[in-house]
Formats: sequence, C-alpha cells, structure tokens
Amino acid sequence: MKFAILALFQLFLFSPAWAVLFTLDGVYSPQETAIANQALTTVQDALPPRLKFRLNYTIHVTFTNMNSDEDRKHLGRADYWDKSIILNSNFLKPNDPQYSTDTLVRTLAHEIAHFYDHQNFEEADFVNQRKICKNLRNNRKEKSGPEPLCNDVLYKTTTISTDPEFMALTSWLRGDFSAQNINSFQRRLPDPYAVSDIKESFPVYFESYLFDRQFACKLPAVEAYFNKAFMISKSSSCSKDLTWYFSGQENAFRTVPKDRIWAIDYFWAEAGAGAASGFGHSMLRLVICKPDRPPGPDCYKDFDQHIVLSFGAATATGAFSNYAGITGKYPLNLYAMTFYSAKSQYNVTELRDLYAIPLKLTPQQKNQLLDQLYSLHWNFDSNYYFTNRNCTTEISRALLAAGISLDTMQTLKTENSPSGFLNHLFYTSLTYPNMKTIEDIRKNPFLYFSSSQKNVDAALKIVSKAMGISLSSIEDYLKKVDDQGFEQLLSKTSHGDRLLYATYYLETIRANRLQSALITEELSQDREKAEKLKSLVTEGSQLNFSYRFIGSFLSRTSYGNPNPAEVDAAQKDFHSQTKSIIENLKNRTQNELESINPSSVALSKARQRLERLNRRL
Amino acid sequence: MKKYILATVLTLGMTSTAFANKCGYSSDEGWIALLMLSSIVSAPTGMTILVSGGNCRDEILNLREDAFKYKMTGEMSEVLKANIESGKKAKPDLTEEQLVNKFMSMQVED
Repeated sequence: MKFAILALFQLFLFSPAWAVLFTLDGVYSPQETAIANQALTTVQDALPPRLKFRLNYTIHVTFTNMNSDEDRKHLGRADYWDKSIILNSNFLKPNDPQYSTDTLVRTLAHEIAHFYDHQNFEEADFVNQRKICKNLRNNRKEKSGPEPLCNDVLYKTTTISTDPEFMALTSWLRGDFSAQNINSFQRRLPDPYAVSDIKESFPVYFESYLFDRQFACKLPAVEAYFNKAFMISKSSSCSKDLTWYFSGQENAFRTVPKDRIWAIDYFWAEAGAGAASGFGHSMLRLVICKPDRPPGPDCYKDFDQHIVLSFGAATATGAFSNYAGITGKYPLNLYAMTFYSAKSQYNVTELRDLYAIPLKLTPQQKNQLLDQLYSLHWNFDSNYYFTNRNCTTEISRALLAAGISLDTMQTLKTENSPSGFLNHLFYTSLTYPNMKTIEDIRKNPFLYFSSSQKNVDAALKIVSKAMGISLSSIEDYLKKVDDQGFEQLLSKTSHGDRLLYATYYLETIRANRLQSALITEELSQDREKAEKLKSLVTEGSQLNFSYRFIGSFLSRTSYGNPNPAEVDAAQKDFHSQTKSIIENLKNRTQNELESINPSSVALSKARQRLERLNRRL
Repeated sequence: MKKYILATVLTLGMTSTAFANKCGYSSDEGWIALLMLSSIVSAPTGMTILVSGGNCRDEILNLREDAFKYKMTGEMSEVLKANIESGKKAKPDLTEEQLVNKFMSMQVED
C-alpha cells in the first residue's frame, strides 16, 4: 500500500513536464549526434524522478577537446553558472575503450549528480535540525562545549556529499577546514576518485547506483540511503548470508543468515580498575537465533549464537602507548567475537560487568545498521584515535549511517566515551521504556552479566561467616586460611553445601596463583626457556596482527561487500596462508610448554586440598 | 613481558582439558587459536590486552564461573540454564545437578 501511494505520488509530482532536460549543444556529424543522443536518453531514463523534478531546468551538453592528463577530470565537468555539462569529444569516436559508451553515460550521470549536490536540497527534518543547531550555537556562544552533530549539520553545504548521514555511510569525517575520508582500505571502491574530494564522493557512488546492477548487494546501506533520498522503492535479490571473521580463533568464520538476527544491543563493559579501561568499552551484540528457533525474543537464550562486534585498535607487540593512541598509530577495524569470548574477557579475566541495552530500531533501521556493520567488517581499515575515532565514535557513526533520526543522534554524538554514550542512550528513543537505567538492565538476566568478582565476594562472605573471621579479599583468604584453617573449614562442610563450593572456588584460585608464581620463577631462572617462549608469543602476536582484518583477503576486482564467491575465496586464501604457519607455531609452543613443569610442596598441598574437596562434591 | 608470557602459558594450559571435546573439537585443535594472541584496545585509553583463546576455552571459563555462582548463591544465570538445556540433549542420562557439577569441575584439572 505504502509503495502504491509512493508510486502515485511520483506519478503526479514528478511529471516529465517538470523535469531536468538535456539539450545537445554544438555541431556534430550524424554519427556523433546519434552517440550523444543515445547517451542523453539513457541517462535521462535512468535518473530518479525526484532528482529530475528537483532540478527542473535545461542542462546544455557540449562535447569538446579536453586535456587528458587530469585523472578523471578529462572525462567531463559541470558548469553550474552556465547550467552546462562539458564532455570529452573522444566519447563521440566509436571503438575507443577509454571512452566507451558505458563511461560516457556514467560520466554524464556523474556530472548531473554534481548539479543535484550543488543545489543543497534539504529535507524538512534536516531544516528543523539546522534551526535547533543554530539556536544551540547562539545560546552557547560563551561556552565552547563540542556539539559534533551540530557542527556536521551546519557544515552541510551540498545535498548529499556533506549530509552527515551520507558522510557516516562513506567514512568521511569533517575536519576544521576540509573533510577527510578515514577509511584507508580504498582499493575496493567503485572508483578511487570517490575519496579524492568529498564533493566527488556522491557523484561516483551515484554512477554505480544507476548503472551497476549489483550495487544494492555491494553497498546495501548506501543503496538504501539513495532509495530514501530519491523516494524510490526498489527490491534486490542479494545473498542474505553474512559471514563474520573471528580474528585469533580456531573457528575463524561463521556465516549467519540475516533473517536469524533478531535484535542488536548496545553492549557496554563497565570501567575497569586500570587507567586503560577507566571509561568502559562500547560494543554491539547481535542477538542471533539458533537454527531451529523462529526469530523472536527467545533468541536471547541462544548465547552460543550471539556475536559481539567491537571497534578496536590492534598492535603487533601486545603493548600500547598513550602517545601512539593519541596520534593514530594503531589500526582500527571492526572485530567480531563470540559472545562467550567477550564474556570471558570482561567478566572473568578483567572482572568487569557487562550490560546489553537492546536498541529500539525499526526493521528498516535494523536492516540498514546490519548492512553498514557488515560493510565495515569487511572494508573498514582505519586508524584509532583516542578522542575522535574510538569504539564509541564509530558505533555512533554506524547508527547515524543507519538512518537514526538527527535529534536522537544529536543526543548521542555529544559523547565520545562509552560511559557517557550509555548515559545519553537511556535518554533517547533508541531504548525501550522499561530499560532506562542501569538498574533496569541489572534486573534482566539476559542483559546483565556480572563479573567473577561477585563470585569471589560471595565465596569470601560464606567462608568468613563459617570461620567467624573477616575476609575482605582473596589475599586475605590466602593468608589467613592456612592448613589448620582449611581443616577447620573442611570439617564444617558437607556434601553439596555452599561452604563446600565457596572453599573449592577459593582453593582453585590458590592453586592457580601458586602455579603462576612457580612458572614465573622457573622462567626467571631459565633465561633460554623464557626467551624462547617470549619469541613464540611475539610471533603469535605478529601473526594475529597481520591477519586481523579479513578485508585484506578480498580481490581488487570489485568493491563493497564481498559476494558469496569472494567470501569463499577469502576463506580459502586465509586458510592456505595461515595453516602451515600456525601448525609450526603450535608444535614449537607445545614443545616449549612441555618443558615447564612447575612443582613445589605448596602446590602439591593445594592440589591435594582440591582433590579432597572434589571427593565431597 | 613475563606476565604476558605467563598469561599465555596459563591460557594454553586451560584449553588442553578433556572438556574441550564438549565444544565440538579435540583438545589438540584448541591449541591453534591460542597461538594467535589478539591485542585489542577495549577502551578509549585503550590499554587492555585480550589474549584471545579458543571458543571452547571461553565457554568453559564462563560455565565454570556461572556454575560456581549457582552453587554458592543459588542463583542460576541464563547462560547456565541455556547450557544445561543443551547439555541435557547431548547427555540425557545426566541430571541438572550432575551437569552443573561437570561444568564446575571442568577447569580444575590441568
């Protein structure tokens, strides 16, 4: 019904009577005229009705000799003053592959896109947002607080190229004096010319939008944006499978049908103890349904299917420096990991709570966000900057690219830190009414995942009570619960009671710590062994760094998202390249590790305690 | 650096448990990924190091923690519930408590 109304709307409003028209200027031979007119008709027919209606004037097209050493500029140019397009007369010569008919129509479409872009047409919601931003700026004259989205809104001077949503989609970042494309992975663009200047970006994509039948599959989020901008309803038959690459895991690839992704959550790791994690971490969780479950809220139970996406920097050495983080020395990619991997990293290793905040997205927004994230996973290879290109800014950019309303993005984009983003998120319409605070999330066992510190605290409480002493930390337990204390505890335990499990849990930590200390000691005394292990770790780290980004396995012959054949080829290439290296590292590491055999009386004793506890379970 | 090596050694040790089979591959295969140490910035200040291991190791770590939590507090997490459900399908002869015990003790042997 919606499409029928849209069609009627287009029929009446975008009537040919009000539309841009091409006229061919100049004197040409009959053959040249035929070539030119054919191209004009092809483009005229392909142009979106809304574009034709909005331009609604005559554009004069002329063919002339042009200097051929200026990259693409030799093909054609738009003259806004004269309302004319000048094209290279070589296009009129038949059989010149450099000036083919295909290139001619694309060039014409490119130049007409410049006209459309130049007019700086704006939608009502954008005009409204501009007013809000102007007011904000006027009212905040004395304050210099950042308003990132408003800066972008006020920066807009063209219809599409500088539209914040399009800029987010195509990885442009507004600078103080000019815009910069932040994706260094540029070898899979429709044309590298797209990143030569922000104003060339829209015309290049527009060419492919009109004339590449695979455009919707290669850049579905950009296609959706154009369809919305031109009020066009198009359907496409692209593969619905999304293949994710888990860097550093043995099952490195997982393919998920898009329709099994039920929801997308903002996934937040609370601040950690160290200065490094003091701001928390922003991620996204894809709530994926297991194959035999119809998509629905129950998919939240299918933890082993869920995938966590995280924009992160990587280093080949494992060490990070603040200076390098500030100056953009680390690559930035969109990593995928299993839910369990994220949970074990944050909950168990780093003792940080995790919170999932379901995003309230329309089906269209969800679809577009998925498309954009998938494109970024395979095509985004940027540089991490501490303040303006981090885990949060990139999620924010992806949301903007997904068509989230400007007023919502105005609230979210003021924050570049994960904790700040979370607090602002609760105030937006992107969260559900019953999930507006951290406390709301904490009540929901599908959305809140507590750190293992809670287990330690619970165990200490139980043991403290049983022994009648105060144990405030694990160190306290290790110090105060000696042989005698352990015997006392054991005598109070019985099969299956809480004290038994609490003691077991704490004794497990004791055994692990003893073992760690012994290994450290052994390595400190055996420099050769330590050096060998260090070298293996370095090799492993470098290996993982080299293979962090799956997009580097894609061929250069296409652009955007890989098709199923390209995904298959990338996987095969990855396996053939890494198999023997990994095998070799594996064998060497195994040999080295087998040579470490930590033992001590204390460790034997700790293990005996565990065995005794184990017998009572 | 020593700590880093240590973290690796311990991670390697954990994966070689017999329970690796539960995750659908042999313990030997579990070694592969552990060599691929992934360092990912996880905060704007970005110094957190993720030692990325096998999928199985992560599952085991999580299940063990949740099983202990259940035994100590009586609170059963949804992650544990989900795994008990799939555990029951794989091993119908085991009771819920037996499965929890199994999850809990997975880590201890090394």
